[in-house]
Amino acid sequence: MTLRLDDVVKHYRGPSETVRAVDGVTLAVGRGEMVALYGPSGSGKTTLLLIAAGLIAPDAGVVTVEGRDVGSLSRKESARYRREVIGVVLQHSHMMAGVPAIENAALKLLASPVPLLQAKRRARPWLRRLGLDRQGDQLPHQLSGGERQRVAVARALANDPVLLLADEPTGSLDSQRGRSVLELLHRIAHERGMAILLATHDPHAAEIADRAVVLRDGKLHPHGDQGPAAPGGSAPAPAFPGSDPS
Amino acid sequence: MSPGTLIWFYRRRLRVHWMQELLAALGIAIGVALVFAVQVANSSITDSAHQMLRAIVGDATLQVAGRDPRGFDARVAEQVGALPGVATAAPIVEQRATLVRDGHRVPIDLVGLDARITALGGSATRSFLLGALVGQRGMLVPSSIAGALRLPPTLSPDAPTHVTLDVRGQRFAIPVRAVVTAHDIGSLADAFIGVTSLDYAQRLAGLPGRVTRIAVSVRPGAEAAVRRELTRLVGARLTVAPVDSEVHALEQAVTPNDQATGLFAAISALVGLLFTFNAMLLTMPERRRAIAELRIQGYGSGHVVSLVAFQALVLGAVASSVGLGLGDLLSRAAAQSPPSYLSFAFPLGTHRVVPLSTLASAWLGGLVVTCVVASSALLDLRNPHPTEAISTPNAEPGHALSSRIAMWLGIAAGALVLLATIVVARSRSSGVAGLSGTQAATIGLLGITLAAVLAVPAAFRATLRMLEPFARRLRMNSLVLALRALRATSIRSLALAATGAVAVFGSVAIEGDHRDLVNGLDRNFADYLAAGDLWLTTGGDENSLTTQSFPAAAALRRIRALPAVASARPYYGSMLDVGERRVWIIGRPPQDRDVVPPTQLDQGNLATASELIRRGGWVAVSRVLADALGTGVDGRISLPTPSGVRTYRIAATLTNLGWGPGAVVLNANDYRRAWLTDDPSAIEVTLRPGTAPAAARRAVQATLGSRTALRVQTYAQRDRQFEVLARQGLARLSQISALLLIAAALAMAAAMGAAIWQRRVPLARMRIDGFEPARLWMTLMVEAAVVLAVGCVIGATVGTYGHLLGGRWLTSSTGYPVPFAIGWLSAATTCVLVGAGALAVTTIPGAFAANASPRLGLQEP
Ligand SMILES: Nc1ncnc2c1ncn2[C@@H]1O[C@H](COP(=O)(O)OP(=O)(O)OP(=O)(O)O)[C@@H](O)[C@H]1O
Ligand SMILES: [Mg+2]
Repeated sequence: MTLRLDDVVKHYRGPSETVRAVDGVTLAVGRGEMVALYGPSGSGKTTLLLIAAGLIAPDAGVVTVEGRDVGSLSRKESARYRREVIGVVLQHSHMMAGVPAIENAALKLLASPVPLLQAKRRARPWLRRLGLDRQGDQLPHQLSGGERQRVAVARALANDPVLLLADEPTGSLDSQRGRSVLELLHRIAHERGMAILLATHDPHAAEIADRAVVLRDGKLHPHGDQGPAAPGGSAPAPAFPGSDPS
Repeated sequence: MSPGTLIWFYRRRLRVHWMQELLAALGIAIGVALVFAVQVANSSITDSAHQMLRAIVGDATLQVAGRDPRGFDARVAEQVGALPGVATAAPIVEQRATLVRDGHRVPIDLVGLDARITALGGSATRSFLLGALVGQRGMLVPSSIAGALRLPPTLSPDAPTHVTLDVRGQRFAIPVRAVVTAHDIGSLADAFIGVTSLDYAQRLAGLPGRVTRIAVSVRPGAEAAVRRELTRLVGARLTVAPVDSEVHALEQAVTPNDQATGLFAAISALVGLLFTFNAMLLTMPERRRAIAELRIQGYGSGHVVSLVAFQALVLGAVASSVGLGLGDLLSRAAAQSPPSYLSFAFPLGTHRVVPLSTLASAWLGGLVVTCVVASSALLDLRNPHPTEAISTPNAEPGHALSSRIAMWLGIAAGALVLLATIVVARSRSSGVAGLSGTQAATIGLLGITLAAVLAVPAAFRATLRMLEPFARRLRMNSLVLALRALRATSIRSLALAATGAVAVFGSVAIEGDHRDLVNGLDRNFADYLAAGDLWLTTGGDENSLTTQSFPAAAALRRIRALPAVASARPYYGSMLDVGERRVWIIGRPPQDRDVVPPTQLDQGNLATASELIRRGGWVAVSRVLADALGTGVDGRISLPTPSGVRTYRIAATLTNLGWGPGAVVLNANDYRRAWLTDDPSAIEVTLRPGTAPAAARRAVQATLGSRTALRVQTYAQRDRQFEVLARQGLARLSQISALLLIAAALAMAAAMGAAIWQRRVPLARMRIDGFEPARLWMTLMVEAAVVLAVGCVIGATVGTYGHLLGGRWLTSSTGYPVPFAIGWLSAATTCVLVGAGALAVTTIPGAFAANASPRLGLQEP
């Protein structure tokens, strides 16, 4: 198994109440497997992905990637883990302002002593595969929201990760474009044996992904296991209350 | 990371955040410039004096010096030359004098030399003795004086130009026969000296057969023995000392002034630093977000550190270099004129000397500070989870500052104030824990400055909490919105408020102490001058301490015969080297109303002390001098006078009367006995009641005739002259304080502008939500006003306290008269100047930002 979450818990203690964002989640994603993570807004998807990325420490439970306990990594190892082992696409990715798309896509490669030209050469094919070969030299504020999101995906893939954690990578895309990005990810997962965990509201994802699960109130349920409104595994989006394509 | 990548990151940063980098660079450059300029100005005076000395006395190591300007018998030089171990003994006559030509006056050091001086090998002496000059009447001057007097370039030994020379109260027309340039005599070309043959100088000074100094060079290894022999031979009445003791005395004399300037410069430098810090703080949220983003991408701590360090090094190096350039310009402006009161006690040059160590320390200082400030962005690295490091409840990302931290900072501020108070209170010249008084006071005041910054968050929070219910009740929606915005961007607002606080702090503290010093000196001089309705002195401004003596018997007789004159009394003043200090000796006629200046009394009883001094055998001594000699009221002080060492009892201690090394006030009769002279340095005239001073002045001038070089001034004229001199002596302080205000205004305007510019996108989003530009602008202005008010009030409060502590230290440690007075008006003026100025400047970017196109709001942050 590439990614393994064992009984992971994360509660946010607020002033009045405690939010059980993730409440005992167990999940495994294997080599070359793409798993879609559904769930209404505020159900804890982002939290779960951040835990898997080692960006938030869980209150309880164990996260292992390729057999290594993510929680036990030293600071240095944890940085190297994000740099070399995984790729992360955040819900609101920031780009370096004033830096063209291609260089933003190559950003994480520059953490190793690689010349800029070579880093750009490695990132360029990913931009092309995401349909951005013409936008490579545009600055972030000259890109559309969807284009920016695709640059973020390219950046996450640029280091050939074994695990991709993507938080609504298609949220700003039209359904056509969103579908093709998802298909691309799925293909890459199979080609390279990369595991993908994908938080999404996109109804296509369940069809394209190898497996889909639903997070509700911090607990994981198999997809389609949530009541009369969505009887089958291939049931589309309307099943998920609160799903909002914005 | 490869150097290429580091450069790549910095170039990208500069492209987007050039404004912030520029601001930070400005802050650093101002700090470095201030420090550098002040250091150069201070070291130049003594370094150039040292160069001048060496150019004349060459490899002489010892000197025999007279204890007053009338010197001693020239035959001592032959006796000294005959001592075993002595290589050369060169007699010198030195008199302070003034050259006048076509209304241009130059105070000079009249130096008389004979051929023996060349044996000492001084670099300048050969040129001085251009054959023709020896044994001939005439003077040689360096190009600096030729320039100041506008001498014609055609002048030569055979076609001299005549100028007027005032020396010891007499006026002469003398021929200038040669001008020497830097080509001949190096840095001495900048010195204000006039060289003549020994016996011509003696004749001009009215001191035939007398010299004031003998420069002695010794054979190798014989120095100690020669010194012993010299002391045995002449030590009772003359001073035997290292030849450069003059330079040490000069150092002594400028020290208190340097300390005061140094302290203010330190405050200014700190203010510069805090500008830097605040400029960087403004960029902090964006820096923190960028760092968090890089860490999410897998950049490790090492990467982030090298990135931040590289950018800080480049910024610091560039900004410090700019600062050095700026400081060089400043110091040129300041070094033009050494304070004229010094030029009477010492021969001075205007040559500017910049030691490499000064250059290096200012530059490195700027660099180090930049790195330290920049490293605060690294604090987030402490949190192993990058997203948590910047995420915060109810604030823009990267803007967190919890109320706990604010509270702790507030407590730290209080503790700092307390600590600073203790340090300054205990820092007399003795110092605390191995620190000198100046260092302790500097540290104390720096502590207070920091406290001003640390107090900002707590005060800011308290203000917001106080204002909010008030605004809600009054339904002042602009204010409510403004308060909300302020809470969300706490770090940025804090940085702005802190900039204001520091700016106002520095201006209030320095301006306050400066004003107190000026007032103190004014009162001092008023006391000093009150003894006479008219004053007769010789020389010009450079003789402000009235130490130049002249034969006065004839003048006294004539003045006393005038019907308007009630009495005329000789006053005696001179400089005397006591140890390493060149002390100001004041011999007061016992008939004076105030023998002890009442406003300058430190310890002792005024009436008793005056009575004792009038009786004789008692003196009043500056506290700095008494402390240095380990004595005090009722103790004793021994003075090496021309008639031998004399011991007096101390009736009272005083401030330093405006002369750094300190002063001794004694009875004029005691002075005449000990100094073996009847030549006064001034005549005080009291007029009959009802006489107009101006008319009496004309009468006195007329009775003296035209051959006199005596200057007659009414009390009012002399008081005005002293006021001008006091201000000139403190000119560097006023320059610093003006510079600080300008810097403050600049820093505030730039910071406010930049902060508002950063807000354009969120403001544009509000326009999307339907807010009108006028409303947004109003909100912005209210925000700015709250921020500025908090900053200015803290700055003014802490600044007034800093002013108090600084003043206390100035009095106790430098011995200057510094009567403390809170300048409510000037503190308020400073507040208004900085606050209202910044607010006014803000209206423009505010209007632009409020009118930003709503389309801007569609961008990502
Ligand atoms: N830093 C935080 N502090 C407190 N509560 C938080 C924090 N982050 C998230 N939460 C809460 O935890 C819950 C889960 O949040 P999360 O961001 O994981 O949801 P999500 O499933 O990603 O939602 P969406 O689909 O809207 O992105 C929410 O109720 C949210 O309010
Ligand atoms: Mg989410």
